[in-house]
Amino acid sequence: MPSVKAPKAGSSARAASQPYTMPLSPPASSASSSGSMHLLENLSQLAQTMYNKMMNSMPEGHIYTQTALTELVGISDPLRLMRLIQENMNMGLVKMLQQGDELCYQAIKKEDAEKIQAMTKDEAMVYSYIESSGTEGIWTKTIKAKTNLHQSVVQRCLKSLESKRYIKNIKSVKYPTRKIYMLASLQPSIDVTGGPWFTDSELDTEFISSLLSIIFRYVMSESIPTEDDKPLVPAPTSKKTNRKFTKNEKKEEIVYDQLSYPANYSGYPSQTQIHEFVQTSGITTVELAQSDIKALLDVLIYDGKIETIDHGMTYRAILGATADDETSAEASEYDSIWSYGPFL
Amino acid sequence: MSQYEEELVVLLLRDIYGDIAATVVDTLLKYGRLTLQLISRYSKLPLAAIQRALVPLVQNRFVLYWVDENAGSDNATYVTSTRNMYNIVRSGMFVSFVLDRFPDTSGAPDIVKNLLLYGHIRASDYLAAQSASQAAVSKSAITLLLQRKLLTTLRRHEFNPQSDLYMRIFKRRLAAIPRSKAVSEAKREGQAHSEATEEFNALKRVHDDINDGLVAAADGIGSSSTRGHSLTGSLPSKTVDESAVLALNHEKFAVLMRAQILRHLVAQRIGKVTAAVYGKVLDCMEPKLFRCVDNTYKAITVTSLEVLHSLDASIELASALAMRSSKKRSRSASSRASKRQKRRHGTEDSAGESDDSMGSNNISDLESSHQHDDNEDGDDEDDNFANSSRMEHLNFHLALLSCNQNLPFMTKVGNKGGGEWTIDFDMLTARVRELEYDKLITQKQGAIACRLLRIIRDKGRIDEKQLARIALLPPKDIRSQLTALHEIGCLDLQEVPRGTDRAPSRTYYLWYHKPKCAYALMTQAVLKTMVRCYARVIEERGRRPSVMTKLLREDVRLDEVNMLTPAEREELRRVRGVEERFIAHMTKLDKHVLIFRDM
Repeated sequence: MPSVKAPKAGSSARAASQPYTMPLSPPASSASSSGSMHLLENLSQLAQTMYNKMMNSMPEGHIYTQTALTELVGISDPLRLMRLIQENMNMGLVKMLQQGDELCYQAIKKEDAEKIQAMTKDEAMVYSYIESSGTEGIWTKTIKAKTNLHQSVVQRCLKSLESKRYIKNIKSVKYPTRKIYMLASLQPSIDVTGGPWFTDSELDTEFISSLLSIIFRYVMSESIPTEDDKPLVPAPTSKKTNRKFTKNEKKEEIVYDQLSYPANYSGYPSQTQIHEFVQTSGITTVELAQSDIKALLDVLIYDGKIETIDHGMTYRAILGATADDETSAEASEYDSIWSYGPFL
Repeated sequence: MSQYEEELVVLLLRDIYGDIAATVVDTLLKYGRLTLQLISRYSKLPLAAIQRALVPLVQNRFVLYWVDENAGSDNATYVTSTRNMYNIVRSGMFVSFVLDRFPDTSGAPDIVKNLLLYGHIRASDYLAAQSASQAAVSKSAITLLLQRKLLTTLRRHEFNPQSDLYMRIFKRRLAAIPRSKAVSEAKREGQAHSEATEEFNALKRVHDDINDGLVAAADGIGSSSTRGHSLTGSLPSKTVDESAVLALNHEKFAVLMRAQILRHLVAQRIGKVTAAVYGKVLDCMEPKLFRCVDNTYKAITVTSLEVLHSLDASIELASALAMRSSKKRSRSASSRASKRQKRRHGTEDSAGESDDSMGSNNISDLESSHQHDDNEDGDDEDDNFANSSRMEHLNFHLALLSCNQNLPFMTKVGNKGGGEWTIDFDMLTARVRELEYDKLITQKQGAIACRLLRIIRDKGRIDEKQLARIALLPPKDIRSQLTALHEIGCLDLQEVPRGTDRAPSRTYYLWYHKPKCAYALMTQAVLKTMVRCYARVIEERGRRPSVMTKLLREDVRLDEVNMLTPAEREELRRVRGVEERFIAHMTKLDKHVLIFRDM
């Protein structure tokens, strides 16, 4: 989708040029006739060449300084250059930016320029602010404050822009009550959506708890020995001939059931391994980063279900912890403590 | 001392020592230090009755007395010792502990029971009250209990309040330092304080001496009966000093209870075999541990060899070791291969296994041979470990105990004697307290609250938003949990204004957890529950006055079966059932008091 790139580039330009001034000179509302060729046709030959060069010589969204433009077009007279730029800007084909103290220019794609040309003056202004907000989106109140337009005008513009599918309304995790708009073609940033844990801007607790339980089960299976991990010496009850156990009857008295990996056991899963497991197991289609897995593991640690060893490099399950949130059998030993209620 | 602890001890005294004793203690708790006349005035009881009630209280050191040197003996003042009274709760545990360690015939349980009743006994008096053969048994039992430090000797000053004792020593020390122009008064006092502290501690440490209350055996009684015991085997034969005044050593008992708690924790966290080993480690340290909280504590070390020698031969150390099974090991390695294989065989789950054994295609052939190799390797290791020395098996368990940085049951400090180990009790008990507190919070408030508490403990001070982010919980859900925790004194809130106006919207609210305060409040809560439990026991008895008053008769008590009607017996059985449940519950609750306060 070509339209995706342009605003992205816009956002990068925004990042580069901090004090972002009103980028567009008011588009000539007279030239609201449609058709991409019309825009270019209205330009002089030289202005057209300049636009084409700006579009083609560098990747889209490139920001030209005045000197760069001088070299590109080959016109050293600043006044003449200015006139050409102005001509382009009138058609909305070139955008003016400020980078530090210097003025810079950026070519706009014909389709986008055309879109803007088709809007009313107010709409174009509102659109430009929404566009400049990039993937963060912009609050309607901020639009109102920046454009100095009346509330109803802003509402009307937003409505018409939304109906044309140029912009869309999004929900922010941080400010759930605010009405925030961004370009329809963009995906909201993680700050807005809240990352993988949010579905429709609400914390997806079920998703999280299912992931927690799956990861816990995995860590447990990797770190707590089971019957499969046969003891190196068979338990007193098993029959192997080549062992020299003479005091069988005495062993029968004390039957301890314990299976532990040795202290220097190195098979405990690391964060990377757990990440890999979650990714390959196909539990979720949501892309989870290493940091997300770390967050989940931290929660498991705080739940007292797993612990870090090797100075936080690997994880192992705590004996007796259970996957579900219900209190474990071991804990119920104390269940009656509160039954007479010290806090009655 | 706290409201609920006071309530509890008064309740206990009222039940065991009667109304007057309880009223006297209640008055003393309310007004503080009082003379006999003042107790009488405040409690509105006759002097003679108070004197009679004070005797068992002083005998048990529930009430301590102080006679000022300058005033006459008429001016003795009385102070309560809540801690000594609280120990009544532990008397049941004490007896069952001794019954556990010493056979019923050894005479040790009888001594403990008598001491619980009388508070203190002079050894000669106790022995004189018994027949000659009985006395010999008792004598060796007392010797043994003294050596194990479960009994302690009492000196005269132990019936005095410690603060008075300290002040007396301090005044004497201060007077001994001559005034001079070169030394300032503050410095003089400081010196006197440090000298007095030293003397005071030395006074306490008298009981730590291995021969406290013991004398060299003159005849064969003491030595012959204790020779076989492993603890005294290497010591020169000793017997009890008959002039010694004996009392139960609750400080040492707390140490032993702590060892039990730690052992139990190891069993939960690692396993029962390791717990058995850890128990032996603690046993080896035990003779040098006199009290749980010890300012003069020096790290005690134990070597692996010592543990090995004391370890019961019947404990199978090697069976606890697990190795990653070859099946699991190859699972991850050949996961891709098995996936391919499964795809080839469709989705049947059972197909995989049978294919493995039959070796129907190349991949499974390869895999099974690989597994076979692994198995053989494993067997070799098995043999090596099984045939290796018991010392190596022991080291396996000791390493397990020391490898966890989050919960260091012990730490290695040297290589002497196959490995030198020590236990940092301060750190360990702090962790145990944390775990116990978390468990209680989980019980009371749920797992989410516990998660939040652990995060707050880890991060120090943290604001709600941040907390929600780390806990992966919606902020609106955690607020109720946090306020609930705040209510029970687990958490506190700090306001940090961002500006000078202190507007709530411009203020950070940081949650934090003060362990000391939280534990103290939890202890109060537990004590309150104990008060309720015991009050309920008394109430249950009060509901059946007829059978209870009948039971007061000596003849009825000796022959319940014949003297009580079936209906009365049934009623009694029910009361005793309720009583048993509540007392058992109190013992459980006492474990929390031990962990949070006395450990």
